[in-house]
This record gives sequence, C-alpha cells and structure tokens, in this order.
Amino acid sequence: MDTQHMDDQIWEWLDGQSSPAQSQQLQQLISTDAAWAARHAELLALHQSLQTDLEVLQPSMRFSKNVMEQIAALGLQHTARSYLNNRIIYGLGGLFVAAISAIILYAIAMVDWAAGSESSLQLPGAQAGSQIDWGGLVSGPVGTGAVVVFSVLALALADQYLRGRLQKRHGTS
Amino acid sequence: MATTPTDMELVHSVLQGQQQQFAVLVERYQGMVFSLAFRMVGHREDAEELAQSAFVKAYQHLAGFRGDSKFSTWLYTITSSVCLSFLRKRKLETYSLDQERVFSAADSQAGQYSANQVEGKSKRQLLQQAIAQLSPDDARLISLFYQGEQSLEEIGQIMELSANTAKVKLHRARQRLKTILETQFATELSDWQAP
Repeated sequence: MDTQHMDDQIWEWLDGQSSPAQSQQLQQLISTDAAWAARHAELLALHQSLQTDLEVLQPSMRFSKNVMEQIAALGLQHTARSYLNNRIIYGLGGLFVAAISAIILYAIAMVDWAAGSESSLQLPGAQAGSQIDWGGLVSGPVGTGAVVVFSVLALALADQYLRGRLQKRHGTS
Repeated sequence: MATTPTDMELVHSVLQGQQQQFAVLVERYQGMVFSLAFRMVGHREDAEELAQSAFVKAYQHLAGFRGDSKFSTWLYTITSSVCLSFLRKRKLETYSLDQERVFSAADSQAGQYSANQVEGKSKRQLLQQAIAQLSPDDARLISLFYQGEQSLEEIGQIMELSANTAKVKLHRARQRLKTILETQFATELSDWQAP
C-alpha cells in the first residue's frame, strides 16, 4: 500500500472522520502491522503537537483600542458625509455651470448680427494707466459668492481625495 | 453570577447602537484573527494592520451577519479575504500547492539552520518556524483547524471549497509540515514521537 493512502486513512481516523468499520479496520492494522504502527505514531505525534503546541499569537496591547478608534472615526466620516452630501456638491457645480452659461448667452445676445462683416462685439481695450479694481471685485457680492463656492468645492474635493486615500490605506473601501 | 454574553447577543447589542460591545468581540477574537493574518502574511506589522482592517470590515458589515454560520467562521472569512487581497496587491511570492516545489524549498532552506540555532528551541518555536515556511493556504488551513476550532465544513465555507476538498487539502498541508519538520528539525522531531 502506498504511503499517501496510508496517511490519508490515518489522518481521517485522527480527525474523527472515519466510519466505525474503517476505524476498526485501521485499529487492527496498527496493532498487527509494524509499518502502519510506525506511521500512526508519527502522525499522531504531529497531530497532538499541533493541538497543544500551536500558539495563539497576541497583537499589541493597543490593538483593541486601535480598532475601536478606527470604528469611531468611521462614524465621524459618515456624519461629515451627511453634511456634505452629493446633492449639495452637484447643486453647487450646477450653479457654477449655469452662471457661466448665462454669461455666454448674455454675450451672444449682445452681438449685433446686422452689423455685417465688421464685428460689433467690442472687447474692452487695454488702456495704459487703466486700473482694474481687483479688491472691489473680490470684496463685492459676486466675488464673495464665488470665493465661497470655490472654497466649498475645493474642500469637498480634498475631503473626497483624502478619504479615498485613508480607506485605501486601511483597506476599508 | 453574571454570564458571559454569547457572540450573537453581542452582535445584537452592537446593532442596537451599543458600539462599545464590539470591543468585547474584538478582545475575544483578536488573538485568533491576528494569528491567522500573521500565518498568512508572515509579517507582524502587516498582520496587525490586516487584523484591524478585518475587524473594521466586520463592524461595517455586521448588519449583514444573519447568524447562519458561527460568528467566528464569518469573521475568519473576512480576515482571509482581507489577507488574500493584501497578498495579491503586494504580489508576494505565493507558493503553489505543488508538493514538489514546497519540498524543494524546504530542502534548500534546510542548510540555513545550524545546530546551534535549533538547539534549545522549544517545540512551540519549532512548530512556529515550520509553519512559517508553509504556503499561506496551508498555514491558513492548519491555523483554522487547530486553533480556530473550525470544522472541515466551516473551513470549506471560509476558503470557498467543498468540505471534502478542505479535508484533502488539510491532509496535504500537514504532510508538507511534517516534511519540513523532518528535513530541518530531525533531531527535535524524534523527541516528539510517542514512546
């Protein structure tokens, strides 16, 4: 009989997977055949050693706390997500696109199509000495609104990017 | 006298909003989850991080645990999956289940251990060293069967195999472990033999 078959039978017996008839047959073989007895002794020694000597390893002392902190952080992420849900982000994006479209449409509406080949759309010429009041533009209601919108969008994008990286790092995507 | 809550009772408490009860489950299974991860990836820091990830994932999907299987079986399935993803990502060299390759690897490593290194090592340490040389699959099987107290059916569920295939694989894994022990720790192994 080949060793592999012999081992399979002994392992099955040691694992308690053999039928009563097989067990009886095996017991007889072990008590009468030296080769079977020797193989049984070897496998039994390994089996018992695995049962008693295989250690359950312990992680660091802070393991449990680390897990609970990660779980608490997950709760915060969910809360932040509820504040900054996708509808608001899409709404702000839509507002931005609508504003750009309105400006373009207004510019097109201002074109005097009857003027022929000469362009009626006069772009303001850059004049020496002319000064654009950037401070006034930014501090005005339109400027302030734009700054707020862009800031929120930037924060939302940064949040999405950083959260993605964090999840990737912890494998909790 | 206070009785220890069962896994299922703890799961229900967590689902009802008592988040801190999850810490009891973590304390209860951290050793086995960490051991399983360590035996699969072979690196302590990675194993700790993966074990944490497994618990966080378990928490996130706790509502999906119906109790059809033991909580431990469900948790070890998640741990296995997290570790396998890690191994795939890292493209670590995974040993094939081909016996010859594992045996030749064991042979080549046999000379690396001097008599002095082996001398004085406890049976536990030797077993630990030998298991570290098994493939992640073999180490996982042995760990689940002997430490995780999982039946062959449950191991099959964790590894997505039939119980019969799990049984055959477990036989082979122990065979490979035996070969490693015989090749590298022959002297110590003779002391293990039953009188």
